[in-house]
Amino acid sequence: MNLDERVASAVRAQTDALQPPLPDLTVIRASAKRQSRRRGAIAVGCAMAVVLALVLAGVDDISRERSGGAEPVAPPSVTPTAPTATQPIDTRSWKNYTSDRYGLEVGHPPDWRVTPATRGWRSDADIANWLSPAHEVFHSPTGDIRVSVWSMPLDASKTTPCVDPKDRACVESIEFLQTWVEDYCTASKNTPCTGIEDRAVELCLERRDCHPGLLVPFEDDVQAFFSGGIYDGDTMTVVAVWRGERDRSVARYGGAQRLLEAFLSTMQVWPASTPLSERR
Amino acid sequence: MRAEDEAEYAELVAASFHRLHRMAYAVCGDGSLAEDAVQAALVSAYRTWPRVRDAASSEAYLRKMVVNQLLSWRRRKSWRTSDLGRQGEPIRASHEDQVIEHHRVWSAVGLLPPRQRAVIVLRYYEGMTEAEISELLGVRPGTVKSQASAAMAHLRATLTETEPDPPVIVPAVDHQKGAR
Repeated sequence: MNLDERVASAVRAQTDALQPPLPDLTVIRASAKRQSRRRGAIAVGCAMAVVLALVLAGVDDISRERSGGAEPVAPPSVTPTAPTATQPIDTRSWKNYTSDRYGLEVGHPPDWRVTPATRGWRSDADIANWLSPAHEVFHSPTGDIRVSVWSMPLDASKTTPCVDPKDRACVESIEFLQTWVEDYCTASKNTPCTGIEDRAVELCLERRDCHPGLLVPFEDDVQAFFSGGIYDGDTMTVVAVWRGERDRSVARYGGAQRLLEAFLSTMQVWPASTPLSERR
Repeated sequence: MRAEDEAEYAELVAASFHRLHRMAYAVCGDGSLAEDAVQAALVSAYRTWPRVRDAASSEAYLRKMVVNQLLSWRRRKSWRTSDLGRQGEPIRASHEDQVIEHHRVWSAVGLLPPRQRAVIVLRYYEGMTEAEISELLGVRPGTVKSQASAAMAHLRATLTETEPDPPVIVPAVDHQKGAR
C-alpha cells in the first residue's frame, strides 16, 4: 500500500466512528445575531470614541486659549484642527527623510525633529526597547509624541508559519502577518498580544499591487508592519507611534492611528479600505 | 433570514455537518476543537448566508471557512500535535495489526505542522486536487505541492523511525527428534 493510501486509510479509521450530534440551529441563530450586534456596537463605539477625542481636543484648545497662553506648550504643528474620521491628515507640506540604513523614505511634519538611527537593529538588544538607537525617530515639536521607523529580519520573532520563508505567497499573506505580529508582540513584551486579527487594520503596500500589511493598535502604542513590494522582502518594516490611541497628546491628530496612517501614506502604504483615487 | 433561506440553511447544515466535522477532526486531531471550528463556520455562514448560498458549492465554501478557522486558531488554541490517537480517540475495532498501523500513521500525521497536515488531509482524505487546495487555502499551487511533498517526506521519516522491530524468528524445536 502506498503512503498516501496508508494516510487516507488511517485518517478514515480515526474519523469514521465520529458521530457528534447535529448542532442546535437556534444556538447558531442566536450566536450569529449576537455577533452581528457586537460588530454593530464596536462600529458605534469606534465612532463615539472618535467624536469624544474630537470634543476633548476642542475643549483642550479652548482651555489653553482661556489661560492666556500660560501653559508653555507649542501649538500643534500639522493641522490646527484635528482631522475628522473620514479626512486623512494632509501630508502635502511634509518633509521627506531618507533612511540609507533601512533603504526607505518617510515623510514627517515639517516642524518635527528627526533623530537618525545610530546602528542597525539587533534582536537581542532592540526587540523590547521602544527607545532603541536602531530606530529612525521623529519627535513632535513639543516632544510628547515619538514615531519610530525601522526594519528587522523576518525571522526575528524566531518562528514562522511558512514552511519556506522565501515563499512570498505565504509570507505575503494576512494570516502570516497576524501570526508574525502575535509572536513579535510577545517577544517585544507588548500587550495585548491576543485578538490581533480582530482589531488589526489591513494595509495595502503600493498603490495598485497592494502587498498586505497590518496596522495593530496595542495598549500604549500603534504599530504597522509590512514587507515586500518596494521594501526588502527579507525584512519586516515597522512604523510605530508610541502613544495609545486615546492618549491626549495625539488627540490633535485625530488619534495615534490616524497619525500613523499619515506617516504610512508617505511610504506608499494605506489602509486597504482607502479608495485607489486617494492613494497618492 | 427569509423562511426559504432558513430551510435551505438547515438543509445544508444537516447534509454537510458530519463531513465537515470529520475533516476538521482530521486536520486538528481534537474533537472539541473540530466542533468549535465547524460551529464557528456555521455561525459565520448564517450571518453571510447570501454569499454562501450563491457560492458555486456551498459545502466547499463551508469547508474553506472551517479549515481557515482552524489554521487561524492554531496559535491560540492547543492543537494536538504528537498525541493523536491516545485513549479516548475513536479507533475502529479491527484486526490488531491494522489498528496498530492506523495508530502509527495517525500519530505521524499529528506530528506534521498544521498547514502541512491540512494539505495532506485535503489531498488524500478529502481527495481534493492541488488546484482546489490552493484555492481553499489561498496559496499558490506550487506551495501546495511543496507542502504536500515536505509532509510526505516527514511522514516517511517518522514512520521509518517508528517501524516496529521485525518478529524474532525462533527455530522450532523438533520434539520428535529430541525424543529420540
